[in-house]
Amino acid sequence: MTSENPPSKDESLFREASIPLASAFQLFQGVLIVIIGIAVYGTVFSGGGLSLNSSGQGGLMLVITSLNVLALGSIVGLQLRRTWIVIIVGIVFAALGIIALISPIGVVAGVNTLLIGLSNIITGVLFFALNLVVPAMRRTSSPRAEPVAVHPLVKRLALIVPVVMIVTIVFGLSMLAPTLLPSLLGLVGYALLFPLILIIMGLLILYMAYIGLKLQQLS
Amino acid sequence: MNNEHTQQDQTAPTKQRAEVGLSIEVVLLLVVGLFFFLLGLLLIGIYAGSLPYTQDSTAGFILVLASLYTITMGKTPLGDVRRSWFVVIIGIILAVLGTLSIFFPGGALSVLARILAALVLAIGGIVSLVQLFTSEEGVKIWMKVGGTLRQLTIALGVMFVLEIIVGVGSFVPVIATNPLWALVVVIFGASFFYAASCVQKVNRQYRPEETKTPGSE
Repeated sequence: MTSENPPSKDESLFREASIPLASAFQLFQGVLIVIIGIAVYGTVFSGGGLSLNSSGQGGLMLVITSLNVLALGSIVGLQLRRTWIVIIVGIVFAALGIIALISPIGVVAGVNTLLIGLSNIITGVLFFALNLVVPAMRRTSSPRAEPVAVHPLVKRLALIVPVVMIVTIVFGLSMLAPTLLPSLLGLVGYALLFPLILIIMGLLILYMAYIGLKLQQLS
Repeated sequence: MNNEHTQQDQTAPTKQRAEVGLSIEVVLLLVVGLFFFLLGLLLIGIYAGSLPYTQDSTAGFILVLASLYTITMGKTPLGDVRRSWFVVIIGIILAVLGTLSIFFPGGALSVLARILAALVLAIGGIVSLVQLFTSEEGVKIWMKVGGTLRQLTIALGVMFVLEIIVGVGSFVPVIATNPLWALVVVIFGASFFYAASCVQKVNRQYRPEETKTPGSE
């Protein structure tokens, strides 16, 4: 009887969620960045009633970075082979993040801020260098290739990723130079705009995870 | 003799550049182990009064780790379940609660996070131990097969027993503030490293596909 019926499309919450590991991490990162944005708004509008544990925030972000390195070999936007050196880098990142989470030691929190700031800036800059500058240089040296049909979801992804990368660079800069953005935008503008940028970035990462899932289902 | 030396010299860099191939299970075991190992070491300085301690962030991070297990593997404190969207949403709720507890220690959610973190450990340990002894491919078969599977059974058994002790002990302030407690937490962390090495050996022997980097062919 069951074999004669066409397979029903199960849309319930209890259906299997076949999420690839990279999308699962993106889902986690997206939620985390949205919460950071909301938390920053919380501290701004509470008028000092709520204080953000910046050591814990940096620590958690560094642990998430380390999980990407250890599980996927992904660091500053590059996909590396998980050699022992890459694994050791991942473990050092995890250890620094964990220490900052448990015990807010000033030196460790400072190192973490530096690492997160640098890794975000390098991720964004490398993305634009590898996807805009290098292809442009190749185009001038070799004839134009035949246009290939691209799936609409891939096109949408190609639009979103550069936006995420711009926000990533801005976020990295704000970690390394906390006074830079307030001096450019003004204190009120910064307090309103910076958390909004984070929330948008988190939502875009969640959307990227969604597109990744859809593309996996199509393939 | 010289040849041996040259061969060793050549293989050493090759080994360094070779793919290590850790599965997500091994990666999470290493990170959780590192967390408890460092927590134990830092507790020595914290009890001595030389280091600051954010207990709420620590509890929040335990919830974040539980959510990572739930979202990536479908492993919940109530046992291994099918990773449905419902389970993923529960994992996200745990992540949100844990993250808020990390960001705002001493806030309204902190008490809830502390209780949940201790429950996650205590219940998680009990359920995992029961599953290890009752599952079809658990203790009975693994101990008979011997070798790495026997080692894995012992490693998991020790880890789950310590998980129960740490979870229950977290509820009792007299225990959780005793300097000896730091040693228990260090040993608990080390048990994850031993379990990770056993799982890695078993993966290499029985499930080589698990050692490939996700997304690589």
